[in-house]
Amino acid sequence: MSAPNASRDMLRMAGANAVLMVVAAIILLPFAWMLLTVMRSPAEIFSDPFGLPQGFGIVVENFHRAFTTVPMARFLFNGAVVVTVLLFLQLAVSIPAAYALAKFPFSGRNLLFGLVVAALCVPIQVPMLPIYIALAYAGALDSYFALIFPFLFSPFAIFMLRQQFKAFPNEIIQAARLDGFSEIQILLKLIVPSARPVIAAFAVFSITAHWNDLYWPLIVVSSQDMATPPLGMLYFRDGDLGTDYGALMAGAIVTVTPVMVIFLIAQRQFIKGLTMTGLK
Amino acid sequence: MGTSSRGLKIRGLGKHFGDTTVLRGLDLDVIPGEFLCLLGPSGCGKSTLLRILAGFEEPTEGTIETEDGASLIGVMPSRRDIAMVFQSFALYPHMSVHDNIAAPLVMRQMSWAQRQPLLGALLPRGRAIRGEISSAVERVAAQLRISHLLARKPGQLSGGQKQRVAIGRALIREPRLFLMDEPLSSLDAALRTEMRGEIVDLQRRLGITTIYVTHDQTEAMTMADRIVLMMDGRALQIGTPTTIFHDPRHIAVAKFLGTPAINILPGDVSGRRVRCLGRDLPVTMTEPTDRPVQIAVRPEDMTIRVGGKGSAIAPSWMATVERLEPIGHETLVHARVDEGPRVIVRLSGPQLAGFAMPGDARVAIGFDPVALKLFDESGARLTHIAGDRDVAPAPHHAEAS
Repeated sequence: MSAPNASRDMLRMAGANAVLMVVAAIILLPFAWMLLTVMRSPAEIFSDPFGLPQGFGIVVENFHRAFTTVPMARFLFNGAVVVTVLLFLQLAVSIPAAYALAKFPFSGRNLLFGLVVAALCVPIQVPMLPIYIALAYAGALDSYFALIFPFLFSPFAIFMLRQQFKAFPNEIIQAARLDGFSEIQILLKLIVPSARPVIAAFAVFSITAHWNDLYWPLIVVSSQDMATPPLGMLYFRDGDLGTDYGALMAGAIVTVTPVMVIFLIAQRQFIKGLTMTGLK
Repeated sequence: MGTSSRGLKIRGLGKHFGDTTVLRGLDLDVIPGEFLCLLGPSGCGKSTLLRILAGFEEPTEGTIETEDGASLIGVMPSRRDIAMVFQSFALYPHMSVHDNIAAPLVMRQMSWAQRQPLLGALLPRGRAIRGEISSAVERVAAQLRISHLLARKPGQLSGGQKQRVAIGRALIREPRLFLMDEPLSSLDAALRTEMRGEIVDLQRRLGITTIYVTHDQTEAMTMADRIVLMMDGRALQIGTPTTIFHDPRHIAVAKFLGTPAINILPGDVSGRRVRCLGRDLPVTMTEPTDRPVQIAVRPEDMTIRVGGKGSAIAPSWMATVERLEPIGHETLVHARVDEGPRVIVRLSGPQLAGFAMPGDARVAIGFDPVALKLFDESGARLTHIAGDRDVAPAPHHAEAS
């Protein structure tokens, strides 16, 4: 072993930090470009992409165009409706299912749980076509229902919550049964509060995934009125005038901000939730 | 707390999980108002019996009836009028101490609408019921000396405090039967002794029939009115602590109680005479028989003489001391009887004075014939008459040279 050497340790740390900073910079680059672009007039975007901003007026103008050339507010509203209704319904389905799988011994339980795990392995693209056809036959395309329904049953939520509920002490459940709690009260008053971090973690996953989803809205939504924010971004790609990058980036900022804010608020719970279930 | 306590009549109770049998043909009468301990090693079925009484599990066979003849089989736990204290305390983690203790009453006495914080206050009786419950909580808390903790969450309490809250939650309903599943085993030693006394005092004061599961013989001996000694899913013996300790019906009972464990010496009965390791014992069998027997003597009933001197205690066997275990007020002597088993002798008080010997010392081991217990090969107790009291030495007396 070599003698302790402060300057060498410092150098090593500096090296490690440098690597991290470079990687962080690569990841942040698109965001930086988004911010730079929104501060430019259409002419400058390509002529002078990395120059200093020309003034605040351009920014306001880009945001103004983002909200006027397309119904941006409508997209945000659609996104919010889909994401919150979906999250609420996913939890309403998954929490009782996870409780049953975690704490009730019934025949076929292991088989059912096996199916949940198997469903985890099936990518959404596999059942897409049959679901689409079914929605088409039901005349339900181009609606909130079409956006929400296929994701109601979340094997991921059931799996994650079952793992968490399983760790809940049986003795507390038995004490509650003696004290006269109904099963629903046990679930809502005792188990759900103890699983709050995991529920927060799932909420972040679900909100981000469905707020940002482009694939499924692109398939089932045809009218501008039903578009979610990522789908709405496509309307900036105007055939006649070319893409309006300034407005597009303003729209992108409006789209990503809510998710980032939610993540920042839920960050502590989110990380706690991930470590609690041993899922990473 | 005017509580009408109740007894139970348990007949032929059995519980099987697949091929595993946890309880077999258990008969037990629980006397109203008594403190009954279910004592036994882990896996003996005592916790399963408690869980069946609580209604968490259904027995495979047998009956449980209250003294008025109502069957408990198939009755929901919440309808059995039973309260239970769990080993882990099982407090509701997100509720305050007050709400924990109040929970059984809130759940039973208030409708869904009345339980809602704002709506409840507006409804007829909502506010009144909540007030009654709160005063009940305060009364119980005062009794358990936890009034100052009512606003805290269980996570902010010490083990002993959690224990008191758990007992409070069980008491508030004034149940007719109180079940306790090793409630002291997660507390430290000093607190355990203290809580032992408190639980017994409380039980005597309230007179609630209590069934208490433990694997700790000290708890059972000090707390119980009666002990059910369980092993292998059976009740081996049911009786007062004194009876169980001094008059065990089975060798397993004798072995389970007492620390260190009872000494077992090999012996033979022919006719009415009993021989042990080549010597006749001054006892007479009640029934003449011919068979090998197991002779059990507690360490405190053994005597020891050093150097072959001292009064003629008959019979005695030469032995080699292997190890001394001084524990302050007493010393345990581990010795091997020549051509015989290892035995432990407990020396205390005057015997201890001046008792010091080098390792490998040769000693003469004897015992009080009155104190010995005879068991046949299957472990069943055999009765005998303790011989001529005149030749028997005074118990607990050994002379050190």
